[in-house]
Amino acid sequence: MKLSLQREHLLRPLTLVAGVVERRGSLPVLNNLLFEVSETSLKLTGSDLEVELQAEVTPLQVIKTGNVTVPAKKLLDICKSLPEQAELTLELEEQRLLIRSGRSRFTLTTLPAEDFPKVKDADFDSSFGLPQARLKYLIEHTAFAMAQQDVRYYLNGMFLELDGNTLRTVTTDGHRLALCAQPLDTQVQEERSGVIIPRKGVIELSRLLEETETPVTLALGRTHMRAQLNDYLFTSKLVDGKFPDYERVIPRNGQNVMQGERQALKQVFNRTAILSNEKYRGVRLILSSNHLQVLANNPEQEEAEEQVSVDYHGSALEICFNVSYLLDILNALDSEHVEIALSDSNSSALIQDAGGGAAQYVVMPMRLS
Amino acid sequence: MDIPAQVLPWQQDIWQHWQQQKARQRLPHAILLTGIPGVGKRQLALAFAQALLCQQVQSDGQACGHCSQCHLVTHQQHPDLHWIQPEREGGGILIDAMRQLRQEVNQSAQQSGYRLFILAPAEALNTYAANALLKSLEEPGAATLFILISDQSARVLPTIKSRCQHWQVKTPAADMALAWLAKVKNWPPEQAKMALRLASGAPLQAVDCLDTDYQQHRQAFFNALDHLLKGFLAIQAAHTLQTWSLEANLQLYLSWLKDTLVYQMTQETNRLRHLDQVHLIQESAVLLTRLQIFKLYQLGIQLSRQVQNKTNPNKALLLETLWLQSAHLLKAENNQNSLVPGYLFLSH
Repeated sequence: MKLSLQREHLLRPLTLVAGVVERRGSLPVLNNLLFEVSETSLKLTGSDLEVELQAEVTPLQVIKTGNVTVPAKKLLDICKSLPEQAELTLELEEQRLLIRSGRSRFTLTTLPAEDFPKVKDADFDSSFGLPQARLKYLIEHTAFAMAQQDVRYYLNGMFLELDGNTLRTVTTDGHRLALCAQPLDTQVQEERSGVIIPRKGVIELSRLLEETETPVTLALGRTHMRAQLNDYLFTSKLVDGKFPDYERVIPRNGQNVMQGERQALKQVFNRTAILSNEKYRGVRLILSSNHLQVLANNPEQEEAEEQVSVDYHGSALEICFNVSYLLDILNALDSEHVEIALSDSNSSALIQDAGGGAAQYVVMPMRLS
Repeated sequence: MDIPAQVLPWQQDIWQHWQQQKARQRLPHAILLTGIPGVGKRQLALAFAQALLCQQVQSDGQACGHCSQCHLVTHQQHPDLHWIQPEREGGGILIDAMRQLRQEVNQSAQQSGYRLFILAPAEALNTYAANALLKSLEEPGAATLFILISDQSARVLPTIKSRCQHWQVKTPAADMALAWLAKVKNWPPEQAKMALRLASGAPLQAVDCLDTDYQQHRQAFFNALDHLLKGFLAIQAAHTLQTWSLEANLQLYLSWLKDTLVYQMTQETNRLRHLDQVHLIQESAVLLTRLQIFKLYQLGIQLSRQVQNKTNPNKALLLETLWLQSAHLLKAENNQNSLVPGYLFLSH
């Protein structure tokens, strides 16, 4: 293997790919990046067994093709510290990688490419494209409600569902649920199907997505999901479980609908949150005609009280919520007005953009004592 | 883990059964593989694991050994093949290992194929770890196989056993074992026979039985025993044997008593394990009463249990206990027969 590269061409892909590499030490080869050099391109692959990221770089010149794995962290540090616009030559010599640039010279140890557990090009059942911005929107509007290290392991991730020509993401931690849907340009398949992407996969994927109309191609399989964006190929394992029937928990009978300004409500909740119980974070919402009172107190008997005028014509109602859940939702929504549909003080609330939007949120109230 | 994947001749019937189950897609999700130490349980488990992962399985069901999956297995790099063992020899398998295992069980296979978890030895699971394993063992997803390996299945929790399909690797018949030994080791037949005897018929164990360290240990043990029987100080015996592990010491101790008992009851030498020590065994069979043998045996078992329960016993202390108590037991018995102390064990 021998090739030459421009530092700037290599640096960003290398940073991203090396970011996936985790030093857990279970398999030494995972501290390395896989280099696959063909006649026209260089493919870099990093993996922590849960997610895998492959980047394609165009080299200046390929003198000899070949595959090998190289220590990720060290290579990245070398590339970073080389001067701008530097040109690098990488050459494999007797199982060592020789890097030359100007007057610098480095030799790195390598491990054979065959030892690298690359995800097989598994058979993916369905594959479809959509603009990157749309997928980013889906993830950003739901990712915060994923469970963290819950024993119900199927909640520690994001449910990605294909339903006709709609793509939906659903997350829940058992207390709240976030759901967001976006249209696809073509219908992919007849029946509904979905996969659960583990938490780490979701976070890594959203890092790659940009606010552009450039398409990303998603492919879903039995054991993996894959996203192809420009020069990057992202693959994640799936959670091997069944996601709960989320439609059953979305309340349809919220006849008491409150509408209010999102920013104003956000500030109100932010202020009252200061004096809520640090552990349970409960705030009390008292609704009467066109008026909302928010109360919070903590074990030290400190109290916060806020009054805000809202659009409300339902019956008088008192309900208690975890204020962090409300703030997460108000931060995720993006229209000026939001609506909260309630039925009584023991039933879940449905929160969404006023008049309905792409994202819907369900929050369970706290019991009033 | 440097264990070759291989199906040994005496494991063929199990292998065939597994192949049939695989062909009919009736493989269980958990197998408990038992048998005495040294019959090749790990080798068999690894061979089957590799065959499940292999992309070009051969006609006899064995892995091809050169596809990319086999490469990862043989280089111990396969991300979906997990060995779960005690962190140190003789230690326990702890709950952290089970927590990590659960994460792997909950996620799909990295190579899109089978997920395999080989636990060895299963009796090393401590109570907490065993209970944590139950959940994963109960309902893993598709294409998952647990192989639990155990030398002493009686010590595996019944709740774990009931979730596994039980397979026993039988100790091979002597001629089959000898034929195999002849193939792998270039030993004279007499030597092979003795090694196999010492290993209770387990061929892989027999290979270890002829290494010099074990032979030295055995020699030291019988010397010490000779001294004890002749009435020398027990503490000295305990001291010289400290070089070797407690398990090995207790094993020798128990096997000596077994031989003694066998000889006392049958008066035949061809059933003995320590064939080269016939003289000493004959002597002890004459010297010891049946009750004494059983009492000594009980002592040995009792101490073995202490070692197995990972109570981390003090080696010197335990060995001294073993020898002093043995001496004491012998003395007490003989005192009842009102014998003169000092000539205790020579008179009968």
